[in-house]
Amino acid sequence: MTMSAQRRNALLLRIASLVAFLALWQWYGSDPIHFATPPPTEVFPALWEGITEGEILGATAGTLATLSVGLVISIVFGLILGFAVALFPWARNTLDPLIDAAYAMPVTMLIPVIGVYTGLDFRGRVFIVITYVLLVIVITTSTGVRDVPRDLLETGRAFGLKGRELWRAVILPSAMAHIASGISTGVARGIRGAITAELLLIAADLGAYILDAQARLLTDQLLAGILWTLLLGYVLYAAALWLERRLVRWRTLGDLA
Amino acid sequence: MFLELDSVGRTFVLERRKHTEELCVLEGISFGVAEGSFVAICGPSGCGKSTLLRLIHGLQQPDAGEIRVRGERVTAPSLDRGMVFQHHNLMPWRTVIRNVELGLEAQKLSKAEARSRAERWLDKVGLSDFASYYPAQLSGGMQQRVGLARALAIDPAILLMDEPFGALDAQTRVLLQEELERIWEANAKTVVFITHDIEEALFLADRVIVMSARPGRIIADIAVDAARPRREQWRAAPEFAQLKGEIWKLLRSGQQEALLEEVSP
Amino acid sequence: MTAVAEAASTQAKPRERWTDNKWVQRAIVWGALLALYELLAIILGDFYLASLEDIVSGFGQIVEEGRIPTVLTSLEHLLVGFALAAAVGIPIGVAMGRSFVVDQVIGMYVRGLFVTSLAALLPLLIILFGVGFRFQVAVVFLFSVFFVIVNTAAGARAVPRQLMRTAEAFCVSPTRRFTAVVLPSSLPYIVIGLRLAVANAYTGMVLAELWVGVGTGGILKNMGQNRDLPKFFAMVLLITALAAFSSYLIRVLEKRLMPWAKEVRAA
Repeated sequence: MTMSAQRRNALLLRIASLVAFLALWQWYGSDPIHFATPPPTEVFPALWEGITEGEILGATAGTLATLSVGLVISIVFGLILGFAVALFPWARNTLDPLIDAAYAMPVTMLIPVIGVYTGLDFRGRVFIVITYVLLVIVITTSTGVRDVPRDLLETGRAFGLKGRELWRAVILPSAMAHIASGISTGVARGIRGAITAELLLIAADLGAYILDAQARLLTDQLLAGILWTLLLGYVLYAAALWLERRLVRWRTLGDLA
Repeated sequence: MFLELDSVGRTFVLERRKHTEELCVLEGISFGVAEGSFVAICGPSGCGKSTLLRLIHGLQQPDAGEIRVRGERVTAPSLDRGMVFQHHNLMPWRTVIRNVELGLEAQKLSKAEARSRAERWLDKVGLSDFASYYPAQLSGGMQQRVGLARALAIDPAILLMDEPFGALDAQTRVLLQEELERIWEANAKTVVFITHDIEEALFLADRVIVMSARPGRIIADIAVDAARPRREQWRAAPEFAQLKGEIWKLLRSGQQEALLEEVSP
Repeated sequence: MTAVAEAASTQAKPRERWTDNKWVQRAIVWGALLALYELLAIILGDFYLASLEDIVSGFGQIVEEGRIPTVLTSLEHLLVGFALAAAVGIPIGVAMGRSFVVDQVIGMYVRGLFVTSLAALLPLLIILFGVGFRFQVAVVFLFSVFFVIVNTAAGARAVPRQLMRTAEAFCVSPTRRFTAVVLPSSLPYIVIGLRLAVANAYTGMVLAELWVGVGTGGILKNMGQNRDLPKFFAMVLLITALAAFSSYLIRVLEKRLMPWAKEVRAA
């Protein structure tokens, strides 16, 4: 009973907050001094127009293609490297410091030179997505495999599981929780990488839509593009999180007792 | 003898920053257990009881002496011995029934057979209705019952229990003790039961082995000849109180040493 | 040995060989990687890769050409943006963590912007702030503030209830309760938030400068376009070292200031 009351309050507060935000934006944007931020009454029609005329959806499809190719490559190589680091002392001793160092690097710095190696188009964008995602997958995979609770491993051994059975019954399910959350984070980082590439490497897809609006000073279209891009990132991450919770459902169970 | 321990010892090597330190947890442990009997091992914390159980199971190896089951030396874990852990150690990603099936997977039973056996044992611990729950959704007492069903499902000759009810509240503990006695009477397994609770040891066991603190040694081996089934009458009996006092005195000397040791390492 | 490796092999530990030493392994593998790189650099030529000795001399050239003051100016923007992010982010985070209403009212925006691609906001920020100091600082601020808020909120939410009850039972006033219980127990989370924030602040800094072609980013852009790779890679290594050092600095401060704190997971 109290739970549902709290939920209702939360929903009301969120709606009120959203309405207040839109009202504030409308008031602020309607003032001609703030020409750079047109009010919602201009931005949303522009967004609708962009969607119905197909321009935004086409650009979104392009962005998603970049993202998914980059993600798949990152996941495949990330899993291989992550397992290697977790299982072979040689790989762990030599690669761990390199991974840490690479993780500290702001990869955006590489944008001015990577075009020469990958080209400025699709391959270049995919490469940037990989630089954003790969290490997260490696790190979560290796910690996932390494941090299997000792108690559970002992239990598995106590009940006669060895080698492959132990992997199937204990190590992989336990590691799966880390890996799944690594992939969710990877989706969030991947969309950042894709958008950054589309804006900075060479204008493409959603990045091109935004840059075009900026160049022509069509501020309503600019805000529509930005809003759509922000929402897309959020929705993709939320979807990844939802999928993660479905996959490792046992992790988010509350206590009944 | 069915299960035999012959001057078993175990020393851990602790790697400190500059030197290594040897910590002798068990020394010269010898006793035998007859088939079908229920033995409780009672001792203060840190006396190596849990280590002893792991040695009997074969999860760890002794540095001195040897352990034999039916005359055969124990060198590795075996499905002949079922373990119930102190913390339930259920796989959080498996449902209750799948957890009970864990040991059956190594036994190469057919899926249907494993399922029906798991269901039967789940029923015996009274959890049939919770087969599709996840461990996180159960109370502590229910989780330990699943652990018990998991160990019994592999039909072991020896059931090893490592303070299985230690983390439970007093009422749940008493309920589970009675349930365990009932199941044990119906199945007549050999049980080695570790506990630091004297009443629990006296209520359940035919024999209570009392251990001293580090290094763990056997200081007494006491027979408990009360009739079965015991139920609550036994707890209220004068003999029960007398035995309890006797063991308490034995433990007390050991426990004080252990306390002092903790203060000045 | 890890638990997994231990479980996978139950047999006795083999005697240690000299190749088990991690520094021996590192010397071999890192040496091989460097040699491979050098070989590639020689084969591909200096249009594609800079050889190691050129990169080393690149550092000297950066200093000679007077690039360091430019880097320092960039760091100044970074510091201002990061300090603003901490100053704004920590109070907001605490408020979100301790108040249901605040959490509901602003939480969705914070979490949304935390996970999404902020780079998309750059074209708008340019129109709003121009291309100078205010733009640089604004981008650094945006790239770091949400890490601070989200982690601080997680910390403030995770204040153990028993500690609050104990404080109440000892009649500690609400303001004292805040400084004596809420802040110290959220501090480890705040620090991990700051560490992630500073790493991301560097990304923001470089992004903003690449965009308008000024400062360190501008230098990188020029070097890249002229294929002046020795200096480019030297610069990249320098900035990476600075980023790693900043994060290390926060870690050292953390150990100094709160030796009692346990490791916490970032949000």
